[in-house]
Amino acid sequence: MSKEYDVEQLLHFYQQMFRIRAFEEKTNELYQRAIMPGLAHLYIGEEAVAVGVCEALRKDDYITSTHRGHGHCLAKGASFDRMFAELLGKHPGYCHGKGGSMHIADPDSGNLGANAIVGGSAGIATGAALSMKMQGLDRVVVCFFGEGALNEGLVYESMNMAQLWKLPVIYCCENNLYNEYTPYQETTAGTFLGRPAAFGMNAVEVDGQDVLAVYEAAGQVIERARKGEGPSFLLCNTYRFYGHHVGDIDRSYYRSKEEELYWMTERDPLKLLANWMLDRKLTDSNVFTQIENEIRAEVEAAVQFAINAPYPPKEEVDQHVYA
Amino acid sequence: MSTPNAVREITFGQAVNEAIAEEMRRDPRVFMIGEDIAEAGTTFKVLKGLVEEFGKERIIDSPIAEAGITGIGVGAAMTGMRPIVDIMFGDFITLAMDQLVNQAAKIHYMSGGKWSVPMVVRTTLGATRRSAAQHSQSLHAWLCHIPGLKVIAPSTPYDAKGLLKSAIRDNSPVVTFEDKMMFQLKGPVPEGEYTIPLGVADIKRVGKDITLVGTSSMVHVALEAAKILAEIGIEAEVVDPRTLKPLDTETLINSAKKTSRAIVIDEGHLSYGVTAEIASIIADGAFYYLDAPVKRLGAMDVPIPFSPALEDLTVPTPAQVVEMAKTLCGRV
Amino acid sequence: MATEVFMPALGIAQDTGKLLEWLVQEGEKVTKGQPIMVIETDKTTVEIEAPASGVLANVRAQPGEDVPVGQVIAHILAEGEALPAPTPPQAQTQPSIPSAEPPTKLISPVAARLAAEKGIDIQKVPSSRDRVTKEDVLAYLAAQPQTQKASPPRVLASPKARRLAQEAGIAFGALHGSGPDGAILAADVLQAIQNRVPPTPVAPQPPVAAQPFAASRMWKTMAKRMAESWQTVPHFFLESEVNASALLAWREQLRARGHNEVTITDLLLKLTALALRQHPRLNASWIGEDIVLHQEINLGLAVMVEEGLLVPVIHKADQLGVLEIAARRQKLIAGAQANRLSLEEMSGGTFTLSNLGMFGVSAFSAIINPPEAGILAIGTIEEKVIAQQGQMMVQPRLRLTLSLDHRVVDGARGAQFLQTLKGLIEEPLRSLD
Repeated sequence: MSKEYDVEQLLHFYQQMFRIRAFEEKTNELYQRAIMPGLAHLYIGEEAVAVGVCEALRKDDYITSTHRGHGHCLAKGASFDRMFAELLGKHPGYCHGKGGSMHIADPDSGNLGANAIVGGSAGIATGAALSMKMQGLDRVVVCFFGEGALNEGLVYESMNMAQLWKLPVIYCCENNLYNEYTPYQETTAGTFLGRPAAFGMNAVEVDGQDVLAVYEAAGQVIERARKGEGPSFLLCNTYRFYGHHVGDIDRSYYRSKEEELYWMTERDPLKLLANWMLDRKLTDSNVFTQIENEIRAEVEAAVQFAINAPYPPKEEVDQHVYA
Repeated sequence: MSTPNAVREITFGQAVNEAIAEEMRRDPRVFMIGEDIAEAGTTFKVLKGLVEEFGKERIIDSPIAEAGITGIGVGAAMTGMRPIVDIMFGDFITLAMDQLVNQAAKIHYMSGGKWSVPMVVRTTLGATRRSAAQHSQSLHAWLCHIPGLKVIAPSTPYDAKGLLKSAIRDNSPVVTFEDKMMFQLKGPVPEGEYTIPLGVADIKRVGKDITLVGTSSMVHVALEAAKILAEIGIEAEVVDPRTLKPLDTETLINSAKKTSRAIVIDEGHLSYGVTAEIASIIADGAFYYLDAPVKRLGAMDVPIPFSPALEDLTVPTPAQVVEMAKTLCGRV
Repeated sequence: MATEVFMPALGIAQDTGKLLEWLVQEGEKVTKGQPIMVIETDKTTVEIEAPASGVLANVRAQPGEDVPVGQVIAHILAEGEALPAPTPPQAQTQPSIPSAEPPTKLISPVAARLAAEKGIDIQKVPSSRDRVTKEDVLAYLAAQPQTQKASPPRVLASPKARRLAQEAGIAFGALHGSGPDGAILAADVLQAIQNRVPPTPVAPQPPVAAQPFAASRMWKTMAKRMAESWQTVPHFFLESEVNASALLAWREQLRARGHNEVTITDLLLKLTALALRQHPRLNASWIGEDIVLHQEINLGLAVMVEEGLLVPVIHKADQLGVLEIAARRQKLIAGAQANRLSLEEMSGGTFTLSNLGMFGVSAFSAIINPPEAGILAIGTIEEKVIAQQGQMMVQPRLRLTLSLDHRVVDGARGAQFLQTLKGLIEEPLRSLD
C-alpha cells in the first residue's frame, strides 16, 4: 500500500462493498422467490472493482454500466429503494419501471445508464468524454465492461478515437474469466493488454479483489485523464461468485466447485479488506458486524418499499418515446 | 445586402450547408463528426466551407468507424452537446444500427425520460448514380420502424433547410435521408431564418382526381407524372410527407378522401417498406372514400445492379406512375 | 432467525419446481453451500445449496412433489434456534395487492405477480388445480366473449361506392358496375342518384326558443364533468349515522387552546385521510380497464363560489396535522373565492369531501368527481333522541353519505371504510392506534 488511509475511509470502502453484497443477495432471493420478473445478473464477488473505481471518481463524473450493473450503480450513488423498485418493475423505480435490472440510469449520480448490449456503451462513454473536452469541463468518464466485450468491434472503434483525441475516458475491463458460460481463453486471441498497446494507450492491470489496489490504480488513471493526458485501459482481474444470471445454477460444465470455493474463501474482496484492517488492529470485528446489520436493515426497508410500491399506470407505456 | 426574406435559387446541397452553418452559429453546442467532412467537405462537397468557419474542433474528421462515431454522437448528445453525425452513404447505417436502434432510440424511454439524445444523423438514399449494390440503397424504412427515432426525407432545397434546422433543435434523435442525386437540384429558398416543423406534410401540387404520395426524390417523379396526367385531363394531387416518422397521417388521409384514389411512390424496396405503411394508413383512414385500391411503387426487390441498363429498371419512373394512375382512374 | 429453504425460481416466469431428492435428511447438519436437494425445472435438473449452516428442519415437501416457486419447504436452524411461528404459505410471497378479504385459496407467486402486473384481481381467477397458477391467470385473461356477425351477400363495389349508396338509400341490386369485374364504383352510384326523382324537402320547424341563461365557463365545465360522471360512473351509495360527541369535544378543546379557525370539516378531512390510508382501494381510480391505486392521499374539498363549484385539493392530507389542514383549507377557500387558485391547488385529488352541514342539510348524495372513486357527503350535526342500552338519550348525530364508483370499489369494501371512519369519528383517539 503506497497510500495512507484513515480508518474512516477504509470502513467506508467496506460499507460501500457490503451495500452491493447485501443488495445482490436480496436480489437473488427476490428472484428465486419469484417476486422479481425478468433476469438478474449478480455482481457478487466483483464489488472491489466498482467501489475502488467509483470512490476515485467525483460525483459529477460519469459512468456507463453493463447488464451486470447493480454494483456500478450503487457505488456511484444510487439508492436501494429506487433500485429495488426498478428491479420489480414498479413506478417509483429509477426508470419508472421501464428499464429494469439491466438499464438503471440516473443523471443525479452521473450514471449514463446500464447497457445490455455487450460493449454497447463504449461509444456513449467516449462521446461523453468528447463532450466534456469540447465544453472545457474536467469531468472524467468510466466505461465499465466485462472481458467478453473485448471481442466487440465498437470497443476498438471507440478506443481508437479516444486515444487519437486524448479524451478523458477510462475503459475499465472487469475480467471475471467467463464470457457468459465460456472461459475467455476459448474466445479471446492474444492478450488483454495487447489491445490498448495497439493504440498506444496507457494501461494498468490490477488485482480486482483488492479494493485499495483498484482505488489507487483508478485514482492515477482518472487524475491523468482529468489533466488532459488522455484515456487509459484499466484491467481489473476479478471473479463472478454466482452464475451468469440467477438461474445459472449448474456451472460444472464450465468451471469447478473447487475454483469457486477458492475465490469465495481466499479471494473475497470484503474478507480481504476486513482481514487487512484486523491484522493491523485498525478496528475490531464488531464494527463490521454493526455495518452489516445496519445495511441489511436498510435493504429490508427498501425491499418493503419496492414491494408496496405501485406498478406504473397504463398511461406510462407510451410516455418518453420521444423527448 | 439583400432584403430580409428575399428568395434566391440555391441548390439542395447549399441549403443543407446553410442549415448546418446557421445552427452552428446560433448554438455553440452543435458540432459535426464524420468521415471526410472537414477539408474534403464530404464526397458530395456539400459541407464545403464549414471547417474554415468553425474549425476542426467543431467539424471533426473521424476515422472510418460508423458505429463508433454514432456512439460518440449518442454520448455527446446525452451530456450537453448537439452532434450531427455524418454517415457518408445510407448503406453504411447498417454498421451503426446497434447505436441507432438499441442506444439512441431507447435511452430516453429506458431511463424513464431521465436522459435524452438530441442528435442528428445525416445520410443519403437513392440509386441511379451507378454505384452498385452497396452504395445505392434507400434504407430509411429500417429506421422508421423503430420507436424513438424520427426520420425526415426532404425533397426540395427549401424543405431540406427548414427541416434540418428543426431536426438539429429537436430533443430526440433524428435521421435525415438526402437523395444523393438531388444535391445539385435548385429551388427557391428565402434568405434568413425559417424552420419547418417535423411531422407536417406538404401538398406540392393540388389536384382532385388522384393522390400521388412521393417521398424524397420521388416527389419529383410524382410531379413529372402529374404534368403528363394533366394533359389527358387527370388532375393529380402530389403530397410530400417530408417527415416519415412521425407521419402526418391526417394530410395523407384527407387528400385520399378528396381524390378517392392514391399511389404511393418511394425509393426503398417495395416489400415491407415505406410505401406499405403509407398505403395501409390511407386504406384504413380513407376506406369509405376510396374508389380503387391504393397502389404502391418502390425499388424492385433486387440488389441495385451496376449496369445503367439494369439499374434504371429498378426505380420508379414518371411513366410507371402515369400508367398506374390511368388504370386507377379508368382511363385505359 | 431460522433460515428458510424455498423452491427457487430459476427461469423467467417459472411457476413450479419438482423436488427430486433430499440430499440431507431432516435433523442432519448442513454447512452453507453444501448441496441439500435436487430439483427439476422445465429446463434442467440441479442441486440446490444450503443457504446457511445449521440443522435441516421442518421439511414440508416430499420427493416427487411439484412445489410452487418461492414456497418454503424446510428451514435451517442454527444452534439454539427454534422454528418460526407457522405462517400461511402465501403470506410472504404475495405481491402487494391490497385486499380486504383474507386469501381464501392457494396462489402461486408467479400467478400473483402476473395478476398484479395485469391489474386483475387474483381472487377472481378460478383455479384449475389445487391452487391458482400462471396458466389459470393467462386463461382468465384470454377468456373474452366473442361476437360474430353474419356476412351479407357479396356484391363487388368500391368502399366509396358503398358509402355513397348507403347515404343515398340506393340498393346495389339495381346498379350496373363499370369497374373491374363489374365492380360498382362511385360514379355508378352518383349516376343512379341523378336518375332518381328527388324527394320533396320538408323544412324543419325551429322550436320556440327559451331565453338562454348565460352560464359561466366554470359552470359549463362543472355541468359537463358532472354529467359525464353521472352517465359513465356506476355510482352506489352507502349511508351511516355517527355519534358526533367526540368530534364536537375535539373542536372545543382546540378552540380552548386558541385554535378558533378549526372547523368540523377540518377534523373530518383529517379522519377521512386516515381512514383512506387503511383502505387504499377507495383512494384509487378506474383507468382504462384497470384499478390504479394512488400513492398520495390528496383530498378535494367542494367549495361553492359565485360562478359555480370548485374542488381545491389538500395534498398528502394524511401526513398533515389538523392545524395544518385548517390553514390549508382556509387558504384554498380564500383562493377559490378570489379565483386565484394555482393549477397545483386544483389538481391531483384522489377523494373528495362535500359538506353542506352549514346549510342545515341532514344528508345528501353527491356525484363523484372523476377520476376519483369516491366522495363523502356530510350533513349537519343534529341532536337526536336515540336508544342506548335500553335508555333514551340525546346525542349529537352526523349523517355521512358515501358515493362510490362500483368499478373500483364494491359494497363490502366501501362498508369497511365507512366502519373505520365511523370508529375514528366516534373515538378520534383511535387515530393514534
